[in-house]
Amino acid sequence: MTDRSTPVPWAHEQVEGARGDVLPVLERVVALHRGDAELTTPRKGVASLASGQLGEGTPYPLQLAPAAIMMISVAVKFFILHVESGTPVKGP
Amino acid sequence: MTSTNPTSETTRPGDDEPAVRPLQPLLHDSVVVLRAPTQAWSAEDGDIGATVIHGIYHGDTRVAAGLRVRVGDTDPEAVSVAPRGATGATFVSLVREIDGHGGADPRVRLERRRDVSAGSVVERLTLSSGVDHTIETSLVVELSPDFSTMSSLKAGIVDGAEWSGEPIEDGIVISSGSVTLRVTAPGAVVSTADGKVRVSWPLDVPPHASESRELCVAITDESLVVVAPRGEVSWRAPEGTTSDPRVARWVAAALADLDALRLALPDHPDDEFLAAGAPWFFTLFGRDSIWAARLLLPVTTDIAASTLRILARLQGIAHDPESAEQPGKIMHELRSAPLTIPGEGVTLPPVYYGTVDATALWVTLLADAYAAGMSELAVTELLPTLRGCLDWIIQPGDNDGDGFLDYVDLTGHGLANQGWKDSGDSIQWRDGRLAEGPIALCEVQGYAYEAVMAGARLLEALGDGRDDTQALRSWAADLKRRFAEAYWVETPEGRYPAVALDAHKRPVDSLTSNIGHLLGTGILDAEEEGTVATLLIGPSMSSGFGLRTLSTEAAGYWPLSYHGGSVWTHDTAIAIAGLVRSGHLEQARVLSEGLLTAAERFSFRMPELYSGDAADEFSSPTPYPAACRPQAWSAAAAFAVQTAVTS
Repeated sequence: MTDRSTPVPWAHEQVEGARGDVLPVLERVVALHRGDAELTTPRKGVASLASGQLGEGTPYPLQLAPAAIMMISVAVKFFILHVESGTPVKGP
Repeated sequence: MTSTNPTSETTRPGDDEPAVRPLQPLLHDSVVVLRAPTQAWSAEDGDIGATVIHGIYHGDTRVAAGLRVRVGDTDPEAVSVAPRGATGATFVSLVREIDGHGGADPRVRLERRRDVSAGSVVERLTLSSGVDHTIETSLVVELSPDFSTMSSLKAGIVDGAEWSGEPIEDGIVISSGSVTLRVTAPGAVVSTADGKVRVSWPLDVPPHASESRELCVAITDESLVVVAPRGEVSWRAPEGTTSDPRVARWVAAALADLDALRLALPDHPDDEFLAAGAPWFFTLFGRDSIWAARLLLPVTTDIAASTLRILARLQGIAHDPESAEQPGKIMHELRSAPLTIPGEGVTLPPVYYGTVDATALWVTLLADAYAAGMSELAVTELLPTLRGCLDWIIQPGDNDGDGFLDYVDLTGHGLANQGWKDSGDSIQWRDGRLAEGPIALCEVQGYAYEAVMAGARLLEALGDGRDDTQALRSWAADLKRRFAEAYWVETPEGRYPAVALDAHKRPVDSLTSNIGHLLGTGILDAEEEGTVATLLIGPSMSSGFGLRTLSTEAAGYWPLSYHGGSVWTHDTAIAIAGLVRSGHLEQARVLSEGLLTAAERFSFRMPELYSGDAADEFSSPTPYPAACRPQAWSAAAAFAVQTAVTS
């Protein structure tokens, strides 16, 4: 989170309403966002969506399909280990 | 009751839909009726739901994906749509299947009168009969709540959210998260099924008579960061002396669109700005709001003054690479939530500062608004913000210390290009290679020169106690000298300023519309301005419908390339204004005639951009199918043209 209290030479109150109370809702969202420093992405994708350029489409479903398939094997293993450890899978 | 969104075109993983690649929806053949922050996109018959772009939107949420009207069991056949300004439209359809009078001409028709205000869509349905017997039928409206996010829809993905409904007298209240729809239809039977709201009126239409019913969708969203401004517009069309009727028609349409694009921030509802454009950009953009207000100065200084104040409140105060914020910098884009790109794990902050030009443009708007009549008191209140802008231009605006304003995205997931040509392939060499950043755009140096000189004049006139205006002028003079040394190139197309310097300080040699922005800034001398003026109206740059973004002689030229050959309305208008300012009226009129020809083809609602095809080969410009319309700076371009043709 950025220190928003850093003074700057021309900081002022002449414009009615200080920045900090302009948009309380927005400030909360900013705080939430800035907590995540691990975001990475191909910049071209961002540019085409943030601008009005006709996008190339997104590979979202195609990317997620293999991930979903991989999740199935993990879920099966988890289920087997869960049963073998003697933990009931349903309540009494 | 609770429902998801069964009518959606969703392609989310886990659904039963095939794994197809979603595509950004096209807009060019849809009808929009709007009053920011609310907009309704439909087909020409008024029905909503045939394509992904269709819907009722409020802020960044599509609250309804469908609105379909039937007469009994019949789908009306559309015959016309008549816009009523920006905020209304009347759709006319025939209902031949229940006509039954035996004559040749259709005698039963349905009028759908749609009116959009901030936070509501009203649909008045009138069935008119010219037959000799009573028509016994029903009017049925199916509304499909949705709650998809704007950013997902732009990617072609419908991510509608769950909603719940609560019956009320004459209607139903639908809620999803922070959004509430209050659907009322007096006299109707309202029910829900399959995730849709069904509104049905039994209807008896006497011989040679009409019957009307009305549906109202009222929308509230407590999370919105933009709201409708409190006041009405006070502007009037500027008087011009031209016999060209196209000018007056474009000016009238532009003022209606600009009125409908007015927005404010919740804490200062009296200060308004112009939303960038429909549908995607119903929010505050630094660059767009400034240019639109600047082009609108012949009409009013009020929008300029309030836009300056709004952006001043959001002026950067800290260094934050994630949001590209720097002390003194004017912001780029405001959203109510982080901009997320589905499937990419990408998030841009809701206040994003990734713009290299908005800060200098803020200063030029302040100076021009003062010259146009903005009050001295209002300007004086903004002098501290002016100081911050000037400090940013001279120091942090130059990332690599070479004395030119440039940009580079330090995060790897911000905007790769931070000038107005912000697409990934917008800055390219004549041979088609993409330029490598940091990029120092030519027009930004012009903006900076003009801003620092104008800022010095304002400080001298209104004073803030610091005696440094001579230093500012010296900095600007040095920038002008270095620009002349570094930017000019000579190619088979002639001698002109390069579009930019690349990472290695090499002038990127393509001939582009960017050089039109230099005219009148003062960074060129009179002879250089004459050279640029001549090139702008040459056959490789002037299409006959406006100014191409990239010369047809460049390897990367393509008429429907977003920034590599298309014509942008505002870009042409800025060049026209610069030609007028630099005394090249004949060239200004050539480009103005191009825009007027295009405006007539687009029914005087100029889109954000369109094809760069030549007018002598195409009778009408081909739409860029994703272009916003109305777009604030495209509408405001009308006043630059009006000035040019009446000068």
